[in-house]
Amino acid sequence: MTYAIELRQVTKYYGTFTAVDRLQLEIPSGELFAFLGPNGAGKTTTIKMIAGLLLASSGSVHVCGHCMGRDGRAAKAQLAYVPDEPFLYDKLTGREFLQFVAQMYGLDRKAQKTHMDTWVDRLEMAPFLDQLCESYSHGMKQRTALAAALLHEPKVLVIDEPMVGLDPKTVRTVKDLMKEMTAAGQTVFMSTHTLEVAEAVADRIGIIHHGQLVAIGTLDELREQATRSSSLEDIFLTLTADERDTSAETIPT
Amino acid sequence: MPTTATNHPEPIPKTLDHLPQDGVKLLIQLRIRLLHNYIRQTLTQQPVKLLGTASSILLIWMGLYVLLVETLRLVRRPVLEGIVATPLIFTFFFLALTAMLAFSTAILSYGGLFRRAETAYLLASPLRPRDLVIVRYIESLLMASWSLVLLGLPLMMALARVFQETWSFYPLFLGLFLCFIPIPGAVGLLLAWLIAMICPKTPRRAMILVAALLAAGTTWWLWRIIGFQMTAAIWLGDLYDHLAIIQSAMLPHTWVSKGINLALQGQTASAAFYLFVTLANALFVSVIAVSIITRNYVKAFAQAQVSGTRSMPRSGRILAWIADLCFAYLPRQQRLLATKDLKNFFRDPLQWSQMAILFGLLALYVSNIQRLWTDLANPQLQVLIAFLNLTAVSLILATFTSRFVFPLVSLEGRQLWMLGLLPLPRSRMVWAKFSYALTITLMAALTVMGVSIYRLGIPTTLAAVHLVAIGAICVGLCGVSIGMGARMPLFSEHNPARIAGGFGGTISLLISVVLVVGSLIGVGLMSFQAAKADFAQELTLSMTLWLVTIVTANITIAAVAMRAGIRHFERVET
Repeated sequence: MTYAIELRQVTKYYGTFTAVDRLQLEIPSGELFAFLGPNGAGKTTTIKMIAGLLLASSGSVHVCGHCMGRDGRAAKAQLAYVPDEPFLYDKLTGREFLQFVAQMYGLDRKAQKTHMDTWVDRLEMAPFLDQLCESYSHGMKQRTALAAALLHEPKVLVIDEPMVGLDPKTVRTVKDLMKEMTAAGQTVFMSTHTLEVAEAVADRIGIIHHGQLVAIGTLDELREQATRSSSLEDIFLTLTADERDTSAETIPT
Repeated sequence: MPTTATNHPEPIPKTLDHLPQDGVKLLIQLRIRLLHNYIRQTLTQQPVKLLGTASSILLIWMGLYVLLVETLRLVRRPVLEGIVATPLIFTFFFLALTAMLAFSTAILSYGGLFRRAETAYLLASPLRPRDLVIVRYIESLLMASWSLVLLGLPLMMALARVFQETWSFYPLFLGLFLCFIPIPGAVGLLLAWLIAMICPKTPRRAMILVAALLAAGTTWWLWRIIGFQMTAAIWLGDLYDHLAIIQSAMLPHTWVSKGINLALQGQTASAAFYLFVTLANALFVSVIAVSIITRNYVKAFAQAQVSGTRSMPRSGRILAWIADLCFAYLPRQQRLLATKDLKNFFRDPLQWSQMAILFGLLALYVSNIQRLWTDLANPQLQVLIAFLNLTAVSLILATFTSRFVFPLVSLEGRQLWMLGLLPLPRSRMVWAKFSYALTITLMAALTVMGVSIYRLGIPTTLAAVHLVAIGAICVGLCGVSIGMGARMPLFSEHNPARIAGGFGGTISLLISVVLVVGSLIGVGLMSFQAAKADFAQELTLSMTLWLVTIVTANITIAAVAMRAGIRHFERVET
């Protein structure tokens, strides 16, 4: 079976520090996977390895069957990556930026226009599309980055902290969008600190702590693992509690 | 039902064949579009800035052209020496250019290939790494060399004017100049890649170490070839033996200087030979460098991401102790601000290393004055050299304050919201920065001038005049830089070099230079009068008046600039 994202015993060292430790993860097509973890747990390192920006010290990363190390270009053609701080060119308008991205992914002129019109409407970008990106608010930048990522209909969307800085209406739009994508067979790999979002939309949740995957499954499966019938926040804090951290023990059930 | 992205009739192909095959063209088109938008925006919003920049370039061109014409005529006047010296001038010029371009390209390439957010964005896309490397290389070459190319144009015109050349000289000169640039550029590109691969945690320190080793090696070699004890004939012969190394036929700067010399002599075919040699080698080294880097680019990029993850030493105690000592005269709150600025300065190797190089070379020179000049017993020569030293220190100070002091206020932009909440008026923040800058510059300038005066042994009165003058110039320059920095802040920019290079920084530099030139004219006249008075120990009335004028002018200009800056800064919103 070809998974949308597959990490095979992936390890990443920074000198003597192990950022990611023998991570084994298989994410099938059509799944919305939420990747959670405390700060410094290895989430961003894992995401960057999936996006091809970092090389694993050992193990391999595969996207839609293509090995990121050996066949990076083919893997990246299937992928879209939206970091927590979206990158836009300050001196391009939103429209020019989307046109550039469309060309980068090989869309012809007709497809460029069609897809751009769709996403501009869907993400309500028309009022600011012809202004320079440097004048955009965070929410506008996030919407533009999202439109650019989805323009070429990627099979896999890797997105880091998608909801930060967005107003409630846009949060709802993004949530609905992610659900539609997975319903159509596309895969979403989302890293977030907003546990309510993960609880609301994720098909499966993975929790990483000190570079290791400490829990993975649906919300119900995680509840069983944590032996508590409680919220994702409680489960998360229990599973990621360190020895000297007593705060998780004091959270009421 | 709203349209979704998945309802399109024609699915987008995901094969490699449908991806753009010419990523270089795509990225260059992007760059052109960015430049076009930038120019259009500047024309609409800041037309004066564009006009000011163009006018400044034109003025510099004209000044440089006149200077070069006069220098070349001076060199040519003694015919025999002119024949010998002219090729040597080109050799040394292009040798220096080689080092400068290699180093500049290394810094720009490192930033462009491994540190910019755009690079990470593009690497996550299906663009070929090779295309990205090529475009970054071209960008680095353009950014490292554009100012040199601009300066090369007046050189070309001055040469044509002095040597009265034919039309073929122009394309040959331009061709040689432009074809030469990629050769050190490729070296710089490889250096950047090596630093990313070998020492990713300390890229800045590595580059500074390389530059320092190169500078030290060059200084040692130059010191060796300047033998003061030999007779002129032996010294000249020895000099030529040493210079033979840098005039080797295998070195690129030799091809360029020979090509230009041949073009000057009207030997078009021979000059064209050197042009094609330079072009072929430039293409060759560029292809080699790009190929090497492309093969290892993703790995080097991944390595470079660990840069900056070294933990800073917990104790800034040494710096805090130094700051307490230097700024003891300041009230506590302002002393804390000055300490913060001092820590920021010393924790950025790119900042303090430039200051160390500027003042270090100057200190090296003044401490060895007696070895450089043969007749320092002559009081007039002493005064002349002392004046030239003062000029050098003042102009370096003008550059230093424009580059490092002017951006100080702008760099507070990101944390202005926090500083604004402190129980400290904004005016005192500006004065804290002025005090910080003045303390550092006074310490450096008085030390260098003090050593210079001591080594020269000039009369006490004149020594005091020089020290007071340099003190006044420090006050003037710091006041102008901080005042203008507060009057024309650039809060959106976090790079000190870009802040200094902006419109406000340029205006500040121009005012600083005018201030320095005016002060130096006064000191020059005082020195002349001292020489006329046979270096009597007493200050004449005229000298006293000049000194008071210099001090008053500097303090007044500093006060006006600071007042304007503080008034603006107190009202500014971020």
